[in-house]
Amino acid sequence: MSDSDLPEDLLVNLLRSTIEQTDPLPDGLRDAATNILHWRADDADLATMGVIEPVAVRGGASASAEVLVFQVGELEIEIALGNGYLDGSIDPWSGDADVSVETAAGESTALSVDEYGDFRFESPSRRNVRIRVVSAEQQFRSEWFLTRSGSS
Amino acid sequence: MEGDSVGELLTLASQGDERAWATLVERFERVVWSVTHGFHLDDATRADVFQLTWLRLMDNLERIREPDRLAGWLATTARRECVAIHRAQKRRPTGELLVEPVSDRPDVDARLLKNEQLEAMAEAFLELDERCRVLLRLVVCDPPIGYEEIAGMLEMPVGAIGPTRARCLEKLRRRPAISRISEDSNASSTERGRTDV
Repeated sequence: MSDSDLPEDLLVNLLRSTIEQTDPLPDGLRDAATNILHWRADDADLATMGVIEPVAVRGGASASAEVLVFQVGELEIEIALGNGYLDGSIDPWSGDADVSVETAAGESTALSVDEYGDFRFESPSRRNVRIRVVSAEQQFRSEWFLTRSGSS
Repeated sequence: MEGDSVGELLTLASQGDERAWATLVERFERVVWSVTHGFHLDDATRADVFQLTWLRLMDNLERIREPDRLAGWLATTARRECVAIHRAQKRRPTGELLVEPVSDRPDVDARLLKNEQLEAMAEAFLELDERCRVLLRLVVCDPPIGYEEIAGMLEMPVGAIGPTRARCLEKLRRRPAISRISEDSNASSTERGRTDV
C-alpha cells in the first residue's frame, strides 16, 4: 500500500456503508424479532419445560417432504413438513396429552390428535412454529422450525 | 441500555427485560441480516431466517457462555438455518420457490446509492470474485464476528482468514473505481493545503 492509497479504516467503513445501504433491513423485521420476547414471560410458569431439538432431519415418503424427528425418552414425535401443512405423529400415544402449535407471532392452536397419535396443522403461509406437548407426566416443547407455504 | 455490556443485556433479557432484548436486537440485527445474504434466498425467506435466529437466541439466553462472541453465535446460527433451507430446496422437485435466480439478485445495487463514493465502492465490490465478496461481507460486520466463527462458516482454516481478508481488501483497493476515490481524496487534501497556506 502506498501513501496515496485509501487507508484501510476508510476502505472498510465505506464498504460497510455501501453494503448497509444496498441491503437494508426490511421494515418491520426489527419489530418481529423484538416482539418474540413475550414467550419468555408466557413460559415462566413452565420453567421446567424442556426444549427438544430434532434428533434427525430426513426426506419423507415423497421426494418433496421433509421430516423432523424429536425424541423425549421413549417418546418420539415426527413432523412431516408439506406445502401449507405439517403432519405430526406421537409414538407411543396414550391419549392424555394436550398438543398445540405455537407461532412466533404469539398464536397458540390446540391440535386434535387421533387415536393413533396423528395430527395435522394447516398453515397456508410460511412461518416459525414449535410444538408443545403437556401431559400429567411431562411437558416439553420442540425447537422452533419453519413451516412451508402452501403456494407451489 | 445502550452502554450496557452484551453480558448484562443477555442477563436482563433472560429475566424478561424487553428493553434489554430490544437493545440486543438493534445492536446485532445487521450481523444476522448480512449473513442471510449469500444464499440467493428471497427477502421473505431471509426475514423468516432472521426471526428464527432470534427465536434460537431467546431459547438459549442462559446458555451463551461467551457474551463477547455473541455476533459469532448469531452469525453461525443464521448461516446454519440458511444452509438447511438451501439443502431442503435442492431436495424439492416442486414447491415454493425460495431461491431467486442469481442474476436477479445483484450483490449490491448501485442504483440505490446517492453518494459518489458509495457508488464507486459498489462498482468495485461487484468486480471482486465471489469468495472475496462473501468473506468481506462477514469481516466488515459491526459488531464484528470472530475469525473463528467466520472460519467455521466458510470452512476455512482460522489462520487463513486474516491473510485472505488482507488480500481481498487489497484487491478492492486496486479496483479503478477505488483508485479514483483515492485520487479525488488526495487532490482535495492538496487543495486544502494550498488554501491553508
